[in-house]
Amino acid sequence: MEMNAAVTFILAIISGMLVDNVLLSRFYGCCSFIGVSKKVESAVGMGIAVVFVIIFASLICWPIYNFILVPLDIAFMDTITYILVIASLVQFIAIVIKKYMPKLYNSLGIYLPLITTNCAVLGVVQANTDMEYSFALSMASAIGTSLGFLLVIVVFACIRNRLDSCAVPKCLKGTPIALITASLMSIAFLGFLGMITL
Amino acid sequence: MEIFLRVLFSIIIFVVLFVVFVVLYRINKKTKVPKGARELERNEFACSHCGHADCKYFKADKKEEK
Repeated sequence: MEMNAAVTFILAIISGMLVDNVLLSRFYGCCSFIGVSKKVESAVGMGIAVVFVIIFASLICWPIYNFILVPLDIAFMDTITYILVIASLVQFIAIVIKKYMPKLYNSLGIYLPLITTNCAVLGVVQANTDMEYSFALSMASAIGTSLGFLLVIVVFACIRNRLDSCAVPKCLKGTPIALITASLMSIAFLGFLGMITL
Repeated sequence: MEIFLRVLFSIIIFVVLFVVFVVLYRINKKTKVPKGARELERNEFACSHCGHADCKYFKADKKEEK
């Protein structure tokens, strides 16, 4: 790999992780972000599951789009194809987690199958197609975005854990203070804006 | 003819991916969660005030509860 390409690859990862964070800048996947951030262990499990789904969805969808859909002139089928690939991947992950991490499976509850409809996953894959990224760049974008999701959901879960033992006004306890915290985190991430332009 | 082929390919791709999904879905349905697996719990050894597991006030805190 050329030096330039390697630098672009790393910059794309950092950009997806911090500058263009999927949760705090683009506001994708907020449902699981709020729902599964009550416990750090569940947040880590959810984050890793999303990392796996995003990376593998990008890995599978890029060749399907470029080597099957485009040559057959049926590129309009991209969204349906991506949804089916993501849904299959989520089922596969559910089987693995159910078998080997039953405690985590019970903690994730409905949010595990809901990764199928997590717009962060579909958003990344669709963006890779729309921006006409090369395979390497689409993988870098997928890795960066998914790690950004993992980073933010774990940090947020830690903050919520601390908030539980703080003297919060009764009317703000629970979800309201979580939403205020998320908005403050989003403002903090604005600091990275314009740091990297690809 | 060209439109016919495009529709045909679209249907083939949809059916193939859908079958893969259904197979995985059925396997997932048949897989059972082992009995006795509870939800993950919060760290019960953590300090009830600051959340740290190694809080220096933790022991006093626990004694107080007793």
